[in-house]
Amino acid sequence: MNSPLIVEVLLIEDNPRDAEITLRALRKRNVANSVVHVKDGQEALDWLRGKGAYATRDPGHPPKVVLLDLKLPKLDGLDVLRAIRADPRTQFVPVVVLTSSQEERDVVETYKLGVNSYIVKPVDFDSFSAAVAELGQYWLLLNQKPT
Amino acid sequence: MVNCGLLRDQLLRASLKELGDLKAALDEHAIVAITDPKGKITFVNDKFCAISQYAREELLGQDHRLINSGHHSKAFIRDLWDAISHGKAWHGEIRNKAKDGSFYWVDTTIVPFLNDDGTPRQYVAIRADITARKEAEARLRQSEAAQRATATTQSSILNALPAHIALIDAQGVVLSVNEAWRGFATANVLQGPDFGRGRNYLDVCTRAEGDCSEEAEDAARGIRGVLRGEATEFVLEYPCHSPAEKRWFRLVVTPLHEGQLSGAVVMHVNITESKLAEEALRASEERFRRAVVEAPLPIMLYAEDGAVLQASQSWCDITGYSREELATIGDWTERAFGERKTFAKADIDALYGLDHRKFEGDYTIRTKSGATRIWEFSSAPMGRQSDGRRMVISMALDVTERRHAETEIQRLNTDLEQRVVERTAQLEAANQELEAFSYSVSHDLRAPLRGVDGYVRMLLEDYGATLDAEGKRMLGVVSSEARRMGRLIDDLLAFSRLGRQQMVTTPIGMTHLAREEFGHLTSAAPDAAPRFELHPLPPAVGDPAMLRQVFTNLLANAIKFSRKQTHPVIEVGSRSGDGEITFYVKDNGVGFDEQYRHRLFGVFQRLHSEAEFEGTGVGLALVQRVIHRHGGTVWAESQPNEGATFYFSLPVTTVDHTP
Repeated sequence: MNSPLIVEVLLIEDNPRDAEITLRALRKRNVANSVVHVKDGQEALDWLRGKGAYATRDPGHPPKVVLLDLKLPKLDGLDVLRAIRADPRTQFVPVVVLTSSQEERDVVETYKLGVNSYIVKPVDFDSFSAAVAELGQYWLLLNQKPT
Repeated sequence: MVNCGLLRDQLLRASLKELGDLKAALDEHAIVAITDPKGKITFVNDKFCAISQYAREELLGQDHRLINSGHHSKAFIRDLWDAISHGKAWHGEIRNKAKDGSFYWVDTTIVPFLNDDGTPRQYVAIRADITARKEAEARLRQSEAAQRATATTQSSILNALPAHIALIDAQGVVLSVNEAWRGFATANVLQGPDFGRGRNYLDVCTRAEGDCSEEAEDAARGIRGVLRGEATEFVLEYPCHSPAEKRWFRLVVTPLHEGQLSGAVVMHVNITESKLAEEALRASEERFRRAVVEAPLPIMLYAEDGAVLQASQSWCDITGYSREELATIGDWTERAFGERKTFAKADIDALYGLDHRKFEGDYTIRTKSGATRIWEFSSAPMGRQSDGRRMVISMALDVTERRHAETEIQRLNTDLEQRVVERTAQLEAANQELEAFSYSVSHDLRAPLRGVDGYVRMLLEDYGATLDAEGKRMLGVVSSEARRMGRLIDDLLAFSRLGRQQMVTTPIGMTHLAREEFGHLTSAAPDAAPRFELHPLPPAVGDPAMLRQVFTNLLANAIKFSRKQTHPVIEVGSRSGDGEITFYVKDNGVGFDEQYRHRLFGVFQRLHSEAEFEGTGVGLALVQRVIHRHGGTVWAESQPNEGATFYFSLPVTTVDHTP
């Protein structure tokens, strides 16, 4: 898909509208040179582990930040999060959770699975794109890859 | 001379012979002794020896002191000697003592035989044995004395008796009366002088008048019967009431025998006391009987031989059996228990040994109509009948309806529990659905809205240049409507979440909470903030997050609706009483029309247009839900353009009032 070596943002989002808005916000602010968009939890794990359709990808190069929607088909967001934290190659990758409501935010807090940030996706486009861009930027800049 | 002498001899011989014959005859008949002038015995005949038991040799030469019994006085002896020593004959009865110490009586005549000079030559004593007569006389005397004593004793006894007793002869004439009779006669002046002695008692009875005349007639008949020997006893109880007191007597007439039927003993016994006691007892028994019979619950009193002594009317009414059909316990067990009677009877038989009340529990009985009733029995010992039979009282409560009701309640409870389980399951399912729904609302409804707003924005960014002002305005409206819908969804979710959220109650400093919330709400533009008058508030007990929400919403409303005032003022205060605290938030804003007050706290209910004052209409509904969950109430007062005051009360102690 994109360059297998320098992926900076992995966007895991099933809603194509939200995905487009998110991608647009990221690009517009120039916070990510390389963004990969996967549409469900299973695809996300395949990508991260270099399996299935992504068998050619080297799992030794995790993304710099993951934007994770909670509600996903097949494997849901929390399962993906758990898998990311369980894998030594990805356990330190910052994960920004995108939630649809305050209610979901509560769920995330309950699980305390090492979420670095969350964004309640507002209806308001401006707020949303600003939040995504700011948080994405923050984590991209902060994430000094532990080698 | 010779002839004359011979004749004289012949005459003398003839005289002597005659004299000897006389003496022999005398000896044959009498006890004879002869003493010299000094009293020495010179002759005793055989009879003397026989009666005195002394031999002739023992007597001759002795004087009469040998047989002196010591019975007679010295004067008696002196008189005797005085007479005979002066030549006079003496006659009297003397008691002597025989040799064996026994006494005998002799009728004695002592004749002195005189010398020519008139002095006694010898004394001839002629005696006859009268011991038998004397002893008979003595016995008679003793007997008479004894009779006299007996008569005295009897009369004392009669006089001592409280009964009025008279002896009447065969004709009914009163012979004698006792002390009690005399006392009664005196008190009643009935019998006239001499207490009726000599009057005919039958006449007295026959002539009686007034209340007791009938009984007097009966008495006369009865007495006649006894006098004729037709009856050995006649008894009659009769009242004899005076104006002062009630009295009863018992007349007892018994025959008087003196060798043959000679009259009767008439006795009147005052039986008033026993009669009164009897009456009192009867009255008491009657009261007890009535208490049992009239008791509103089944009561039965029965004896150990099975006889039913009493049964309450209620017992008969409920069972339909007449008192006659329940003559014995056997009748009862047969009718009420049928084939179970053996067990019932055994239970009852065990009751006679009770010494305290026993609760027996429920028994199912059969009524005459064939219906069954449930009786809860208790039994208690009632002591013994006068004839010694032990008695038991059994009391029953007819608990048929109660037991049926209890069964019904139990059934209903079981049903209810079942239904509660079902409903709870349904409710849980509904709650889960609601959760899913809320999740769906929050996630799925918002996503398209984000799409709408996002794409409008992208359209404006990418193609804004080709749109004129009107086109841009319209797209702006699409965008703002989408955002408004987003807010509605957010508020609705918050409201729904509030109903499901667990309440955590702790004491809360309300003053601090109100000040803090006012600060948050006005932090964006502190200069534009209304004047805030906060009175010190008492602490409350409740869920801090929820009550914070209450202040947030009420203060936000107050700020919002007083925004257009020149000098907006918001006042927060409280008052206490009746186990609750009432807080209020008052503003001087636009207020509201009180006729729509009932719509204030409904979800999505708004009294102002969106253009005037923005809002979703959820804030007050949320306030109400929080306060209700705390067991309090919420209300508001207002006049248009005169501000509004919102009140909410909280109980002093709060528990979760979620239904």
